[in-house]
Amino acid sequence: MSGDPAFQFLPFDSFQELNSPDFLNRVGICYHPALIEKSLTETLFEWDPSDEISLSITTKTAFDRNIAHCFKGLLVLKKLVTPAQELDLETLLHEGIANAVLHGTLGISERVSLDATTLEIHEKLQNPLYAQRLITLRAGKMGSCVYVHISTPDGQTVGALKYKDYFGRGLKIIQQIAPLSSFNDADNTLTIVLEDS
Amino acid sequence: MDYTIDRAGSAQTVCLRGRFTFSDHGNFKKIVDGLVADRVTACTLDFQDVDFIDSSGLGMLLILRESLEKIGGKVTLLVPPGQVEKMLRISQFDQMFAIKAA
Repeated sequence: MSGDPAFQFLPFDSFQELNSPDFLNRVGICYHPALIEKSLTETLFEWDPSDEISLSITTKTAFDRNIAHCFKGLLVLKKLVTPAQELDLETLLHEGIANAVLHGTLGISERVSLDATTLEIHEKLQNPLYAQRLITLRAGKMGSCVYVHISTPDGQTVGALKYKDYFGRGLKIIQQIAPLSSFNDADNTLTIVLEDS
Repeated sequence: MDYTIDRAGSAQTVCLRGRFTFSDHGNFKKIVDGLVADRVTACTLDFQDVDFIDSSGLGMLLILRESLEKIGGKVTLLVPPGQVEKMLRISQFDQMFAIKAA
């Protein structure tokens, strides 16, 4: 790969490695766009429970791959979540990431038919301006709670403020499941907190 | 998501398997179009082998309901305990669909 590392796709093969049980068992992930041209093994570090887990992915990777399931698996293996929290966490991650992609990096703001939305998504994913925008996930433990930040570091909204009159089903589901969820003032980070059950 | 359809006249059962999410929009649209073309008046969606549904999946259920209502049809959801049941419950889909515990 060449060019600005911040504008590269996560390679498919690397993602397969990222998603493998062996990889998830061995390491925490500190994945940064600046490191994208190095092999993922160079980005590993010894897991310290006090550390956050973070993962940055392009919008295209976030859309094409089951990132919520993968990231949840990592948190489970690191014992940040209990088995009883797994499905709720995956649902929260899935809806949060979907919101960040749809209303954030892809900038889809109109309530239109599912057919039209699908068409617009696939058209925009062909455009590097949208497809290569980043989504960042960070998670860690705070007392007995697990927190997750879902951000669009390139500055796009994640939807709560800009679309306050159009509070979609995904965000309502997040509010129903998570005891605490909030957006920062810049509206580019969704924070979700899940209590230890 | 995979699916099979059991046909019995104007009543059909659609058994879904796997995850039911946004990426299944195309497949589910084919299911809905087929049910409407067959003038199905009683459709049961069997979620016993579905382990995950997202908000888009819920939206597709509303499309199915609306499409069948136009031809006088009704939808029943067969749902086991788990993530799907929770999503339907917190989204108050029990007020819009007949839901049977599997």
